[in-house]
Amino acid sequence: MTPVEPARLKDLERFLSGWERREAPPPPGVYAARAGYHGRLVEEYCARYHLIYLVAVYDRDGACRDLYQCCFSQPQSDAPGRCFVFGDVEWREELAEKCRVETYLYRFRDIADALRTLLEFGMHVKGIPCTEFNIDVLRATGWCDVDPICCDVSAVREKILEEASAPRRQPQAQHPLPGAGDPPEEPHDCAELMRRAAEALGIDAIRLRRCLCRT
Amino acid sequence: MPHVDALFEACRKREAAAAHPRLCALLLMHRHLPKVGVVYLRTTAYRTLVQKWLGDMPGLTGEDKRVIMQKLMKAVGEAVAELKREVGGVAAAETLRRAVLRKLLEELRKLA
Repeated sequence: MTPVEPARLKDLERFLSGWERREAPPPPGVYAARAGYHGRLVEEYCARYHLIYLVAVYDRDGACRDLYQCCFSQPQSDAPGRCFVFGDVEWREELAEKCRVETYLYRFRDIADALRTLLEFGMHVKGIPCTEFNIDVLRATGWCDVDPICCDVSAVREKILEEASAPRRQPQAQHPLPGAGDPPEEPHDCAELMRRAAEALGIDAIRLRRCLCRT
Repeated sequence: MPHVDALFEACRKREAAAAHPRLCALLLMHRHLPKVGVVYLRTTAYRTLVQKWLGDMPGLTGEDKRVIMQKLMKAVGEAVAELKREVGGVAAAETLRRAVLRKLLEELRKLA
């Protein structure tokens, strides 16, 4: 049993065509999704597969010559980081001894594009649920508008709570207790309703009323 | 922690648990999966958890508990069967947690 699911090779190749590949650990950067694997499981995974990191390098003016080295430089004024990283686990030094690692880098002129690419890779190639991504990433990419559930469940929560309180009121309204005091207009409403129903159905209104209204 | 846990309190209402057993069962599973290690996927593993959860629910009669328990365990059973097909009978807690979360999101999208 594989402890963590690797991405399918075909999907991976298709997605990463054009990315610069390095057999090196990921450079420092802002992680787009939370890291979630236990140390021991990472080791088990490493025994079988490479750890793969995607690094979206934000280079607005195209000044970066070496994308990898660029991640070590100061971030640009309009971004929280120079490089945005997606990987199964946040990189730490001790993994270098146990795991083979590949890092893929790509230059982006637009920060939203960079984050959207990481988001698409995580969700569509790795199959990670959207809620695993940082909320800032989801907002910056506009994903909250595409799939609001990823960012906010309050609408569903309200709906469920509303539904939960509705059935308690309804049975009382639909089946008043005998002798509990019917609203004064109800007999008239019932008779009127029966007259209309009888007309529509072409049957005797009085018999129908006897059957249903019990008056 | 994913924001879906905000829904957990809604499921503590008797009518909500009865009306949305799959959603509540998945929330319960998601919330109580261990953070690390390996999980053996069995429906019975969740029985005590559901019983305890129902025990904490306010204002339930014995009959309510019986009915909701039946609905929730049926939903848990269905979810476990689906997960077994997807990840196998034994899975890393993290893999399973993500699979449950995916199902949970599907369920929420239906309700949204």
